[in-house]
Amino acid sequence: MNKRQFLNELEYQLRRMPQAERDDAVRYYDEFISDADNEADAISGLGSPASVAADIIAEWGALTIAQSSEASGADTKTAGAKRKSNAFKVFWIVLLSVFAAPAALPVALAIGAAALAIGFALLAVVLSIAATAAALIISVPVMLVLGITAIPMSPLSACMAIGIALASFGIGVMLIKTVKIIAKHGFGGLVHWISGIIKRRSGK
Amino acid sequence: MTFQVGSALLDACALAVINRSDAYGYSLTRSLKSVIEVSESSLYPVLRRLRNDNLLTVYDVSHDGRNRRYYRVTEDGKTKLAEFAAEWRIFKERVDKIFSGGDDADGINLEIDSGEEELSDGGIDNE
Repeated sequence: MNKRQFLNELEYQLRRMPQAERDDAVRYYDEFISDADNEADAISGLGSPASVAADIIAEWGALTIAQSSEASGADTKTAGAKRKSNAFKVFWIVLLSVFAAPAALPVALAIGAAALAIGFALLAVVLSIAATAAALIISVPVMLVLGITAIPMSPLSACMAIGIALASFGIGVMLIKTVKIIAKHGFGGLVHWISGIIKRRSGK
Repeated sequence: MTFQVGSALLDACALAVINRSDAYGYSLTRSLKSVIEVSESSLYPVLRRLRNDNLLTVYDVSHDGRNRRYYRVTEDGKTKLAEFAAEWRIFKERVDKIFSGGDDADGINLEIDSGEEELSDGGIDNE
């Protein structure tokens, strides 16, 4: 890899950063390599452009997030929300750059563990909603029988029991739909996210 | 070296070296590498951070038909460097105390310095 190739690759790895920051970093490494006695040695000493970029982006991300969290306190609500989404964007850029650098295996493992934890949490939420739905649906025939048998004795109580039965049925059906949607989008999204990361890593 | 250099110590060393004489990226990397274990790619983020905190400023000097960016320590940087040097001295004395095995609180004056002393010279002498 010669200087031009190194700098082009570095610039590509920094593409998500603001232009000024990217230019500053590329300029630094352009000078750094030019100032070295031996270009090839300097480039091999630096390591891969991806890992050099990961160092730059991590520092930039830390500075940017620190600044936005300092500033957002004094802001109006909308500007604060905008900053928050910026902070999330920065966090995302840092995460991607870390994955692009092959040296970041421990971080990759940590994120894998986090994905697993999110998966289990999602599963727990889905299961608990499903259990609630099942309990409501099971209660429907019981309440119906109770209501119908109560008609001769107390019509008002019968109305209430039948009403509860119908309401339980409705809520139960809605919860089942909710579970389906969460399962589809939540797990689908998680799988999509993980496979995206794996593709990104193996593509390098 | 067995001991890892953390980011605060790296900031301090970079400031100390630049405070001796203004430096450009490659020369600074070489100066630091001769003293502490630091990778070539970890210096740019340090310089970026120090610039962001207004501890360093940059200026360009033409060299071989191109510009070379030099770093200079600002007044804020000099103040910060003095703080770093003072804190380093306290830190070093505490560690020395542990190694020498002494247990009387402030009664230890280490007249004999080890090779480690070389590291801190830059910071302390330049105040």
